Amino acid sequence: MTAILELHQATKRYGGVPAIDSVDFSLEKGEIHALCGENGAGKSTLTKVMAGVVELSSGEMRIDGKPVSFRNPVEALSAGVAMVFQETSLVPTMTVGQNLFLGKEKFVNRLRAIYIAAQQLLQSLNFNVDPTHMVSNLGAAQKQMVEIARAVLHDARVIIFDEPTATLTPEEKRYFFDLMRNLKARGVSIIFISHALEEALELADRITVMRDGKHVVTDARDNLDRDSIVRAMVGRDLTSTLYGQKTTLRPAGKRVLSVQNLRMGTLVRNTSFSVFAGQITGVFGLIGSGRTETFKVVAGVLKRDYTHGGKVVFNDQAVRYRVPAPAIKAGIAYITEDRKVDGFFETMTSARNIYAGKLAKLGGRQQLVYRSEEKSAGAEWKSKLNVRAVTESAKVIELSGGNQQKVVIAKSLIQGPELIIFDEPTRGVDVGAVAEIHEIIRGLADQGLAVVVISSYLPEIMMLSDRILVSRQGRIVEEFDNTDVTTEEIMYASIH
Amino acid sequence: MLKTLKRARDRFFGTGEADTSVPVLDGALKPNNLLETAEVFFERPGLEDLAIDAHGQLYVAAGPEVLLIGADGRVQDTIGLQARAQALAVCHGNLVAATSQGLQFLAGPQVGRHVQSFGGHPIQCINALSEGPDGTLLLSEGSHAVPCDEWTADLLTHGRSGRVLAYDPRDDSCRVLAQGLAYCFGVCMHEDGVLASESWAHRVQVLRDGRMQAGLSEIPGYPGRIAPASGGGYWLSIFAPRSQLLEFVLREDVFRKEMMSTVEPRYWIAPAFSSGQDFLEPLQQGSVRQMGILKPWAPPRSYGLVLRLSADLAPLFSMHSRVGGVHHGIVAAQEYAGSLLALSKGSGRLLRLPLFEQNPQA
Repeated sequence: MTAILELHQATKRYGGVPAIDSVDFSLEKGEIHALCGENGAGKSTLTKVMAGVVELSSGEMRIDGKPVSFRNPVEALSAGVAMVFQETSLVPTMTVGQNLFLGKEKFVNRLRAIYIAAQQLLQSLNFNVDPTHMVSNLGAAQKQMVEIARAVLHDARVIIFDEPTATLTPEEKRYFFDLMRNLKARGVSIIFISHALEEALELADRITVMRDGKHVVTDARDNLDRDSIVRAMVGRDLTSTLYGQKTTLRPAGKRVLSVQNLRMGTLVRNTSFSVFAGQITGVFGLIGSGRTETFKVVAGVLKRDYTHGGKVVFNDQAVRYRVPAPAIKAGIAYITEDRKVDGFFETMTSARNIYAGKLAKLGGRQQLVYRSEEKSAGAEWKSKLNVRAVTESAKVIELSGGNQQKVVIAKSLIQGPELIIFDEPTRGVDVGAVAEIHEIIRGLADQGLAVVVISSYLPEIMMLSDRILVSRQGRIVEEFDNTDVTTEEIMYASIH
Repeated sequence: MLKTLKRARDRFFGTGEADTSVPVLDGALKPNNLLETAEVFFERPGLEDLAIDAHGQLYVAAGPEVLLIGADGRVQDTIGLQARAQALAVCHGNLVAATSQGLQFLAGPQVGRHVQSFGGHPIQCINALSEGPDGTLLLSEGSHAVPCDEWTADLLTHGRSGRVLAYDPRDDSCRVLAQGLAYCFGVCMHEDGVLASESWAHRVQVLRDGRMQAGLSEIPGYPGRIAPASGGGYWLSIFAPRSQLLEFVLREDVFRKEMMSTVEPRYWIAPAFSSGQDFLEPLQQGSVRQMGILKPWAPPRSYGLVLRLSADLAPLFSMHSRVGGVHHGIVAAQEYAGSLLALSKGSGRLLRLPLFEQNPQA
């Protein structure tokens, strides 16, 4: 096979600190190549170099054996390299069709023709997305589909996916895998970054592992297994810590939250459940099952139906939060599934973000902001949660996904909550940080807090939860004690 | 004025008083079939309450009789009452039964005593008895206004005339410990006070220093009698379930008034100790049952539920006879000879279960 894309001694430095250091990489024609590594290992930087988002500090990149240097993504795209970003790059105020043809516009554009072409493209890919729909109204999985369709439309020979399956349901994942195999059959080369090692082992022809900006190993899928990949990624064995079912359950304490016949439009439909102190309550459900919306209503992020919207009882008091502030004040913390949009102020330091959490709890009563207090609070929580940043002044956006998530968690924990809701706590987080975040979650339950973990990753639910609630079609349909339940039973309850 | 406006707002938005939501049976209350599959220890129509004396002898109140039951489940002796029994207890060596005629001391130091009224008022709705401090007898009076048999009428008229009384048989005095309760149906000594079930408010309150304090609230049914558990904590019987249909009926004053004036009480939309035997019952026939199968959304009128509470009144686990089952209307649960006896008024059966110390499903 011939290499379509090669990197030799590729190095990219930020302020003298190498993000990738002397990396050699090759992608062959019609190959699916998985890129694995902890957050901060340099995977994203490497792929951004290939996609023209950043330029190399030193080293060389070749396409079809010819040296190239992309100054921007447009140049990369014209050379046949497209990247589908983890954070969608679609314009939310435009329709699906308009987004697909963005950058490929003609002098005169007929909207009807765009929609017809978009419909044909989406149908050929078997994507169930209406080209006339506004992107802001699409779910995460549908946005991902539009991103992929856009790459296909631009005749990309190399498509780079950054965490493509993070937002997809198990069914959508199966479908996405088929799509990748189809693209491969058409001669398209694919690089995909994934923290789910099962996906890499199932889908990839070859797997490259990076650690601390350096290339560790590249080998055929058949020569690698989960343990060897994890060892290469983190330099230690984490398998037993990360996977497996609980054997002992924490006893339920006081009923902290009782949700009764809660309704919110068509997303939350007459759902009822309880959450107890001193336990981790896992909530599993497919995307669209209403699990996130239910807890957003509890935390005041969304409003329940105005009439006959049901009842939320928190600490034996019927409550109705229309905004998050009173919920935070009462002791409810909701840690968002989309940390980059709702979780932190990306241009602020981690200390300032954490301190902002404290100010939110005070609800405007503190008029003066003390820098010394901010610094000490930031240092205390960064130390408690082991938040790693290159410098004290590093902005949160510059941290790895795992460290960003820890900042978001610290921002909520500083508020001293009684009920803490984690929505997809380890989405887009590397395996090392996953273990640390799981340890934090367990510690909170051991301290007697009521903890809710919403996750679409079943092994995570199985490993963390004391009791498991299954959400389907806007309501909690099943409750399991996490002792003898199987993944099949949970999955069955979530679908049937 | 403000109250009227608030009520109007609540009725429009379905909040506050007009809220029809009910708590869910989950966590420690997760349904099982332990009561439904329990051994039937004794069976007789009209079973009402049970009591165990210091020698471990079991007495059961059934209709106008109190029966002494042997360890083999056979009747060994019978004591007649003046009226149908409403409650039974052994307190400070006295076997006491409550009827619509008052209290009858059946055995013990005060045998033969008959108390018909307190302070000139007849006591017709004593529904639970328990041993109190300093030789007193704790009495739970469901309603000061209606007799025990008409408990559904008290619920549907939002009755709030329940009381907790302390009767001292030595000087025949009676003190009112608490009043204005939404149907008191169960009393029991607590470490620093008295526990009282307030059925229509779906809660168990703790009476401390003359004041009612929150104990266990948001119960998904109507709590009944309470008995101490040997490992610490309590057994709480829940005699009927709550349902959204009933909560809805409870806020519809005009409908309720008409229903109560035109329909026979046994066919009212109200909780019951048992259901499903009569096709004239509300929402029977095609509404909830088709081809003999109960539809999953059928609003239940009766249910069997016993809660094991910790010493601080947190539910630890529960035993159920689910909708469609037989052992409904559990009005009493007490430990007896290393097992738990649960009295199902709906089926007229005394059920015997192993004495679980923790959730048997865990």
